[in-house]
Amino acid sequence: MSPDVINFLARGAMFIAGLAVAAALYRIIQGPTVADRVAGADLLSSSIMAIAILAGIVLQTHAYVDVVMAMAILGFFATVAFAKYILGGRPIDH
Amino acid sequence: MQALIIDWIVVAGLVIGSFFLAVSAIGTLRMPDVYGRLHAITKASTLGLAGLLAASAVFHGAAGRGFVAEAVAMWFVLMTNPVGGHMIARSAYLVGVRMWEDSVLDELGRAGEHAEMGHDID
Repeated sequence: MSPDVINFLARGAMFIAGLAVAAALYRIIQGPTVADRVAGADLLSSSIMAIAILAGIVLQTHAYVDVVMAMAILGFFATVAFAKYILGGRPIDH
Repeated sequence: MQALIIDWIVVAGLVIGSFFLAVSAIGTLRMPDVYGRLHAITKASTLGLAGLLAASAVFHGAAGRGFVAEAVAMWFVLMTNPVGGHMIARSAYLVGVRMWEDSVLDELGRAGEHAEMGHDID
């Protein structure tokens, strides 16, 4: 059962992650407030990380995990910077 | 036998991860205000990513390609994603984004009043 089932499930999960990307883009475009758009960007980065993980499983390569780590760090810093930007403050408080 | 157990762990991680990603996508579309959407986005997508990373760690680890990078990435996601969600929610609250009108509890007073006082709550 092993390779076929895992491959099928990984492709299905990739489709679901694509739907999450669509939902995040809808929220970025539609969202009534700036916080909605920032939350949509957060979901967008999480979904793209999920797609990278699943691509690593489908293609049976370990290279995409580094992409996932870099995107996790960049997405967190982007979220924090946007949250500070909403408040109108500087990124680093003293 | 061992390969079968590893396959089932991978399948369970994939199913759990994609389920929580689907929950996150639906909640993003369906929730009524920013705070509800942040619940859906941060919690559900964190759990979904953790499940997918666990599946990837077991899959690649069983194939001899290493699993340390997945463990580090999972630790980082579990640490930082809720922090980011809380920062967005705090900024939205201090700027004065209104809650849904059927919300039952606002422990800091009405959202929006603190913005006029110069956002002094920490």
